[in-house]
Parts: sequence; structure tokens; C-alpha cells
Amino acid sequence: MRPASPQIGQWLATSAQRAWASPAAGYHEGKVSQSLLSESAATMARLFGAGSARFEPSPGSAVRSAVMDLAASEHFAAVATSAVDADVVRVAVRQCADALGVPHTTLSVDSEGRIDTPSLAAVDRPTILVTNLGNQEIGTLQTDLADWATATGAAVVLDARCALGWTDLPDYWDALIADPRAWGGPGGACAVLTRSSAEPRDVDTEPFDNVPAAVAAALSAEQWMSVAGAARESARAHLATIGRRLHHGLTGIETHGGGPSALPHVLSISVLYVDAEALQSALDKRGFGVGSGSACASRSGEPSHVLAAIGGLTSGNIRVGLPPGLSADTIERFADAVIDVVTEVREEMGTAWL
Amino acid sequence: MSDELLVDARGTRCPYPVIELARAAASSPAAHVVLLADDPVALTDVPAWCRMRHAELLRVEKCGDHWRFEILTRHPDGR
Repeated sequence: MRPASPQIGQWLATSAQRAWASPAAGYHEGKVSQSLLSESAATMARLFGAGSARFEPSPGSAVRSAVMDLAASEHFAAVATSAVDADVVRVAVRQCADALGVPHTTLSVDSEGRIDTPSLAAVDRPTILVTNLGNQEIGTLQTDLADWATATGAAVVLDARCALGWTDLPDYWDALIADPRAWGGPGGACAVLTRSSAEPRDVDTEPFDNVPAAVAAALSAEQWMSVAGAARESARAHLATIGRRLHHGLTGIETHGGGPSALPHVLSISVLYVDAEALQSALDKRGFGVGSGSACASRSGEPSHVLAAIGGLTSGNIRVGLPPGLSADTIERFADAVIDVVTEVREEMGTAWL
Repeated sequence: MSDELLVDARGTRCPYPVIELARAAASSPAAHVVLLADDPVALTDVPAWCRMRHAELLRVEKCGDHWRFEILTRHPDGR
């Protein structure tokens, strides 16, 4: 997620005026809404090289829609996710498994968070795999699943929310999940992008009708994709600077992210002997909003299952997603802030000498 | 084992089990540390600490409501 695009208010306001009617309404304004919705879906499909696109109100409903639609067109005997997929994805896939009456398996990952070869080899029945294209916490890009999908007859749904624009799309997917909030677009208009241009078979009982959000989603996607290519290289350089500064300025630190086979803008930073919640709030006071995978900073009280799956340190963890357009000066200020804040928290906790 | 140090971190939550372990390792000449912890986060973070600090996790056992970690904090060759 990143701060909203400066145009978002204008896009939403304009489309709310034009598309106030439900797209299902049988009068002129309903047809205007329907046409704006279709145009927005077509824009999304074109931008990401999909056969068609449709909108869903949330990431979870987008995943459910993608899986149930694949299951309606062909027989699948199982659904699967990896050990490092987002909670919202894992929950949605479990719901699909229950609805379809098939098992939900979890594929194990290697030390960098890619689905490992033994767990892929163990898949022995036609499966719908829903997994991340680029990991939301540690940035790792998924292994190439093309040969596996062909050999096993699997369908692949990629959670591409963090990755769209930041990396080239592979060609082994049957559906992609997008969330415009990832690029400063609106909430409430996630997209299911499908390879096939066929109409969805599993027709949702409640059709999507938040047309202003869909219009703003498509406009924000166009804006993001026009600058994403240039954003990649500067983000990659910024991430390398942060990593270098922190490893030089702090002891007891490990980072995950960056590098040639990872998203260019996602970094997970774990430091020994500090309370993550204290780090997070001290950085917030300095104007830097960061996530955390530590148990003490999470609402559930559970540590990040991603860090646990790769054997990473879960305490003292913060995670960073760089928005595009940051200056080198901001990056230096951020690195300084992390070093200062970790040092201060360690002094307060009496762990600086360790 | 006479040079074994017992660190009881039961009742503490992340990041304290690892902090207690590190304090004990830094202040005792004993190379063998036995850590007791009941925070499940220790199952992830104690192995991570061992990796980051070049210590060796010899054994993890579930003992009723807690876990018992046996750690070699220094290599016998003095590293």
C-alpha cells in the first residue's frame, strides 16, 4: 500500500457524478454506469495483458471469485497455497476448499520463500494453486511454475497485488489478483484478471456496483503503469542503499528483500533485542510508516508466518514498501532514523551492550 | 554437566526470551545454555538467534507447557 494518488479525489468525484446509478438499472443512467464499468475492466485487462477483467470489492472476494470460476469450468481435486501467502489469500482459499469439498494443501517454501521443488513434485492431482507473484513481506519473486502447471494440469492464480508494475509478468497464470491500493488507487475495487476472455461461469450473487471505485482503479492503474518501468530501477537502488546503511550502522541485523530475484521495493528488516512496537511507533513519530511482522506489533499476537516459514528472526521486525518518486535524501533520512531509533530503543531496554 | 547455565524465560514474551538468552550467554563463561521458554515465538527466534550469533542449537524439547532449548553458545575451539 502507498499514499493515494493526488488525482484520486478528482477521479472519484467525477465518476461518482456520472455513475451514480446501479449498473443493473434499466434506465439511461444505469447504462452509463454499466458502460463505465465495462470500459474500466477493459482498461485493466489491456494494461496487464489479460483476456478479461472484472472487479470485486475486496482481495478475499477477488480470490474466491477467481478460484470458484476456475472450478466451475473444469474439474479440480484440490486447492493449494504456499506457506508464505498473505493471510487474506489463505483464508479465502480455505473457504473455497470448504465450498468445493476438496482438500486445501499448503506447499512448503525454500529459505528465500519460493515454493520448493519437493512440494511441487508431491502434487499428484489437478489443483488450483493460489500463490504470490512477489512476496508481500520479503519481496521474493515466485519460482517459474510454467512447466509444473503444464505437467500436472494445475491452474495458477497469482496474488500479484504487490508485484504489478514492479516486475515483468510471467506467462503461466490463469488469473491474477490486483488491488489498486498497491499503487495509490482506491480501495473497494480489486480486480480479477483472467487469461481467458470467456465470461465468468460462476456468477456472483451480488454483482459489483461500486462504479466510481472501478473507474478510479483503472485511471490509477494507467497512471502507475506509465511510470512503473522507471520506478523499478530507482527503488532497487534505494533499497540497496538502505540495506548497506543499516548493515553498516547496526549490529544484530538481518534483512530480507532486494536483489535480482526479488521485488525492487520491499524490504524486511529484523534487529535483535528490540521491541518492534517501540520501533514502529518511534518511526511513525518521525513520519515513516512501516509494517511489522513481530508478534508484539500484530493485532493477532502471532509473528509473521512468512518469516517463520523461512527461518527468519521475527522479533524486532519492520517492513518497508517504498513508494515511487522518493528522493535520495529521503532514503538517507530513513536509514538514519532506523539506526537512531534502534539504538535508542536498545538503550531504553538495556540491551545496547549485547 | 557442571558448566551448564539454566535460563528460565518462562512468562516472558518476544523479544525477551532471546534477550535473556543473549544476556546469559554474554555474562557467563558456560558454553552450554539451557533456555526454558513458553512463548511460541521462541521456536522461531531462538534458532534465528543461533544462526545470527554463530551458536549451535543442539536440541529443542516440548516439556509440558514450555519448551526446553539446549544451546552451545560458543564453539569448543574458542570461536
